[in-house]
Formats: sequence, C-alpha cells, structure tokens
Amino acid sequence: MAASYNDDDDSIYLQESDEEPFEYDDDDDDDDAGESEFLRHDSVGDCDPGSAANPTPSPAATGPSKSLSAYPANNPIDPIDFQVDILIKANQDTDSSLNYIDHTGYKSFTLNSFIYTVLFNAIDDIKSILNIPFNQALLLLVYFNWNTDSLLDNYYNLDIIKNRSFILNLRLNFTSLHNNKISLLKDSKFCSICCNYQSKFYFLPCNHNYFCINCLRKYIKNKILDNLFIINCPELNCPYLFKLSDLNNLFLISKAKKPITLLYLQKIAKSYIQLKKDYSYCPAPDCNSVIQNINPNLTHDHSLFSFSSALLSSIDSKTIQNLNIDLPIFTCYNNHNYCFNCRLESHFPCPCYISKLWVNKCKDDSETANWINVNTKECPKCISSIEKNGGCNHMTCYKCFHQFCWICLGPWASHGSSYYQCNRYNEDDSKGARDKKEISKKLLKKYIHFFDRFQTHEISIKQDFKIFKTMEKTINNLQIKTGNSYIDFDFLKDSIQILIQARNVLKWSYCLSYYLTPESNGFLIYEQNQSVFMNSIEDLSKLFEIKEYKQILKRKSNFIENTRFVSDRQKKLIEVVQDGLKTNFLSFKDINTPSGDSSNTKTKTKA
Amino acid sequence: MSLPRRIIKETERLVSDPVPGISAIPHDDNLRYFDVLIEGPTQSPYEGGLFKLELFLPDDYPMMAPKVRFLTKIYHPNIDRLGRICLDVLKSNWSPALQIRTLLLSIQALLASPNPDDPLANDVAEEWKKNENTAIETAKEWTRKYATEKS
Ligand SMILES: [Zn+2]
Ligand SMILES: [Zn+2]
Ligand SMILES: [Zn+2]
Ligand SMILES: [Zn+2]
Ligand SMILES: [Zn+2]
Ligand SMILES: [Zn+2]
Repeated sequence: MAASYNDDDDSIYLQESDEEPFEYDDDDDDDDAGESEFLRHDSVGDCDPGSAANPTPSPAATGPSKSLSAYPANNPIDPIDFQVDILIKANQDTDSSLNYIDHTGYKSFTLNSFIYTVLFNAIDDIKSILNIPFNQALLLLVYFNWNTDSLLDNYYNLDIIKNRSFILNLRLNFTSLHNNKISLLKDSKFCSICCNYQSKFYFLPCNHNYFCINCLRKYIKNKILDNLFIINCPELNCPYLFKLSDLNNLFLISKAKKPITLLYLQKIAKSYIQLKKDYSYCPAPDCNSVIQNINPNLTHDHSLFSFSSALLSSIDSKTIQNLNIDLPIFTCYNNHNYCFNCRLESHFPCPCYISKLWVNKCKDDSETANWINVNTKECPKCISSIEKNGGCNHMTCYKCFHQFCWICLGPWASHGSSYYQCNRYNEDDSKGARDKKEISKKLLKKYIHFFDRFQTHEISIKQDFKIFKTMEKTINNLQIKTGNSYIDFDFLKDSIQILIQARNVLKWSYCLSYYLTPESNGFLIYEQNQSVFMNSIEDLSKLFEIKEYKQILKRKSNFIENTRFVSDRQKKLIEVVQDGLKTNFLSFKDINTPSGDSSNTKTKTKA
Repeated sequence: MSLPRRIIKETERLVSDPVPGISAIPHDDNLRYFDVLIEGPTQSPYEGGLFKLELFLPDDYPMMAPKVRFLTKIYHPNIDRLGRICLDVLKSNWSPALQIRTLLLSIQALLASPNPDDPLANDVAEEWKKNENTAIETAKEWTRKYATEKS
C-alpha cells in the first residue's frame, strides 16, 4: 500500500495492472459504442421523469451563485451509469441467485451484488427524486452519510453553511458535463507534484493541468485507500470534484485486473454497511458477504452487546441477568454461521456478552492454559500414552482395553449414571481458601477445568469436521460395496452435521458453566442437562468409529435414534438456559471481578 | 534509494530562497529528515523565541503529509506535550500541491493565532478560553524559559 514515490516508473502505482497501464486512444470508437448502449440502459431508470417528484429549485438555491441557475433541467446523459453497470455486471459472481435469505431472517449478499442492488437503489432514488445525474446523487449520499432524509431536508434548504458550500459546489460541478481525457503532449511539461517533465496529463475543467496522470492516480488511489470518497482537485481550495468517469478515464479498465472504480464502489459500500445498523459483514476471513437484518422484530439492543471489558464493569448484574439468549445467528452467502451482534461464531447457549468475556479471557490466559496437553494423555489404568484421533471422548485403551473418559479420565462405565458428574467443577476446593493468592489459584484451577472441556470439544469438532468433509466419498464407497442406493446412507450426513452443531453448543456451555453461580437453584438442573447432553453426543460420536460397512447399515436405526436424541437434548439444554436466565433461576457471579488472576488486570490496561 | 526529484527541488529552494523567519536544513545522512527552526511571530506570545522542530518526509511524500513535531517546549492550545501539532493541512487537508515551505508557514501562522476551539492540548485550551491573559502570560514565560538562547 505504501508504494514508494518513484519518478521514473510510470506504472508503480498500478502494480496490479498491465505493463501498459493505460492506452491512449485517439479515436473514440469504444466510447461511442458505450454511449448508445448506455441510452438503452438509462431508458429503464429515467423514462418516467413525470412520476418522480421534481421540485423546482427554490430561490434560496439559486441565490448565492448566479451560475447555478444554469444547472440543467434536462439531465444530459451521464455515461458513467452505463460504465458502472457493465463494471459491476462483469465482476458479479457467477452464482445465478444474487442473494440468499436464511431461516433466521437475515439476508446475505456478495459485496458486488450488494453494490448493484442496495447501493444503486439508494442512488437511483435520489437521482430520480432530485432529477440529478447518478454521480451527483452518489456524492450527495456519501456527503450525507447515506442518510436520505437529511439529504432531502438539506438539498434545497441551504441554511447550514457547511452543507451549503458543499451542495452549491456540487451543483456547479455538474452544470456541464466535461469530456475529460488523458492527453499525450508532444512536448513534455513540468508536473508540479513530482517535479518531473512528463508527457501524459489529464485535462481538468478547472484548468489545473499541471499534474501528470501518474501523480493524479497516486493522489486518487491514496484518497480511496484512506476511505475519502469526495476527492477534490489537488490544487489548494480548488472546487473540482473527481467523478467516477474521471476514475474510469484515469485508470483504464483492464479486463483481468480489479479496476479502481470497483475498489472505489466497494469501499463506499463498506462505509455504508458500517453506517447502517441493519447491515453487517460476515466476519469470516476472506468472506466478502454482506448481511442484512430483514426482520424488524429482530432489533437487538446493540448498546448491550458492543461492550468493552472496561465498560462491562459498569453493567450491573441485573441487566445481565435479564438478558436472554435469543441469538441473532445468521448464515452468510458462503455458509458461515456468525452472531449478528457480537460477530463471534454461533455461541448457543451463551449470551453474547458472556461469550465475548470468555473469548477475551481465553486470549489473555492462553499461555497459562497451554500446559494442557491436548493431543496425548495417559490411560488411567496402564499408563500407556493414548493419542486421540477421532472426535469421540469415550476412549478405549488399545493395550488394556480400559474404557475411560478423555476429559476427566474417569471410568466410562459410571458416566451413564446420574450421580457421576464429569463436567462438575468441585467448588468445595476453593471454600477453604484463605488468602488472596490461594483464591486466585483456585480461580485459575476452575478456569482451566472449563477451558479444558471447551477446548477438547473444539478439537473434537475439527475432527468431526474431517468426517463431514469426506462424507460424500464415504457414502460413495459404501454404495459401491453394499450395492445399496445413495439415499440409504443419507442419514450419515444428517447425523454428522447435527453432531458438529451439538458439540459446538456443548463447547459453549462450558463457558456458561464458568460464569454461572453454582449456588443458584437452576444450576444443578442445568448441569444435569449438560451431562445428559454430553453423553448423548459421545454416544453418537462413537457410532462414527464404526468402519465396517455392514455394521454401519445394521446400526442405521441407532444412528437415527441417537441423532434425534442429541437434537432433543440440545433443545432441552438451550431451553433450560433461556428459562433459567429469564426467571433468575440461573445467574452470573463474579462477572465484574474474575479478579485474582493477573491476566485480568492486563485486559483492563489494554482497554 | 535515490531521492525523488520533488524532494531535491524543494530542498534546493528552501536553501536558496528561504522563507523569512523559517529555516529547514536536511540531515546529511538522511535527506528526508529536516532540522527546522521557526521564529515566534511578532505581536504573539511567542515573539523573541526560536522554536526547534523536526520534519520527516515519509516514503509516500508528497501523497502523504510530512511528519512534523515541535522539539522545543511550547505553551499552545494546538500543540501537545509531545510537540504534536493539530493542524488541518497536516491531516485531512493535506494535498500534494502543498510543499514543505507552505506547511511551515501554516505552522508559523498557527503560532500567531492559536485556536483553542480545536484543541490538542485540552488543559491549555481550557485555560486559554477561561483566562486568556493568564494563558498568554504563561506562553510568554515558556517562550522565555525554553525558546531563547541562554548562552
Ligand atoms: Zn507528476
Ligand atoms: Zn482544480
Ligand atoms: Zn461468510
Ligand atoms: Zn453473539
Ligand atoms: Zn490402558
Ligand atoms: Zn468424564
């Protein structure tokens, strides 16, 4: 990004472009062709000027500057409409469906389809209401932060000095359409930015024609990268504004590379998304999906979710307890699941703020918790090293065949019974603690207890995910070997997906366990449900260790039953948490003061 | 890396045709790094003072503004304890059509007319608005104390 300023290299700023960064074309064949096609396009949008509100300019509008009265009643054709149209279409994803609505009331777009629909609709609205060119509408909307109401209030009402100068200047900028072009000079000319003699200049109607085109390009690209979309001529106080058509002229579109005009529109789109509460990005890396909250009932109190750890201490515990966990989970265009509020992954059954708290804590404590050996443990009976390679936590020692639980290392046999509590952290341990040092030690122990479980299931999910990824292949193989139809193995796909999802819920339930008050009445119920849920998951997971194809078919009913059971238990657990939090049967403790461990003071100073 | 022609040109002119009351001399070992001296404008609380600044031209100069900072302690509502300057042309209003010389002139002008409504040093700005005479006295005192040659 920080391209060095190099005098001799024409193309340095267009590294992604061709060796010939622009072509000078004496005849305008291409442009003419474009224009005629443009006419065809524009007739769709602008064919009905009568229906659009078309207010005559008020006296105030023409007052300060005489030349403004010259602003065209009949809009000249704005060739950029066409160009942008083509540009977007060319860059649109090949998917036939432009956007996608998921089951939770969120609509997902690709960034380009978002530009093409939402952004352009907003521009078109202003364009037809005010009867102004596309470019002018775009700059107006950018200036008014995409607030259409405030734009319309201010467009003819020029009382606010700051707005007035911008609007008047903008109108002036569009009184005539300039046909700006790159010019190739016979004699080179001094560029006042790079101080070199150059032959390629871009002629501006403001007559500040002493910036060579490379300097102009660098200048414009810098502004765009800085998220500045209203770009003046570089000359000090010059009112000329660069239009999309200027960008197109200066950075000639090359088919293979990303044109600057698209970058400009994408950056504008991103600023729009940041300004609008009902839009968001998918947080997944490299995913350009845009998410829209299309359900007006799904208005979430953002103020409660966008906390920082410093702010959190000011949230009183009652507010926290009253929060429910109707999470706004969306599925993006590329099938990522995220929370619209806190932008974490789906974190049922944890409320957003608890999840964020946990994630931050884990980040800070990662070093402390690192000693937890995640991949190998010893068989509690014969002390052989056991490596875990599947998602299931019900282990059988390969040497002594002892069955034990990977998480608590207790015997598996007792896990089914109700008295056994694999997930329980023994709070009694910390009751005897006298001094602060001891308390902090106990707190750390408690944290590690739950973090271990959280992490174990996270790893299990990754392993289950591998099974999911190869499921298609597995089913094909099974089909060949058994001669059965593909549909006969469809249950496997359902099962593995439900298993992964359930593990994720279980994983986050340990985060909840850490923050819940163990003394509250609902906690025991919650813990029991968690335990049953966990066993149901491990039972289902165990089935996926069967490799023998005949066995798989034989156990089909087990798969289906266990899968259904997992779903039921998941639903039940979430209900217990939801009801518990609503009725204060479950409550949070020590939210403000998970103190003791030094890591937390670190968070505070960071914030 | 060779120095861009733009910087050579500007440096030449700064030396051959200096701005009155301002000097900017590049370091021998780093031609993008300038020692700057600005005389306090007459009729201002900084009159009689000589203020030392450092100026650095980043790699993408002139697309990006130079980095400037006061090295001499100064009592001014738009300059903070670390010598950082709150000036529009150093930030959003920078244009590659501006030069080092125009920038330094703007800084000198800022000394002549402090703007407590757009403060960087809040405590100073507060004092400036509440009790302008005291603030000006303090500024004069700091100028005497820190910005005049003692030897
Ligand atoms: Zn140039
Ligand atoms: Zn101009
Ligand atoms: Zn995504
Ligand atoms: Zn959330
Ligand atoms: Zn063993
Ligand atoms: Zn266990």
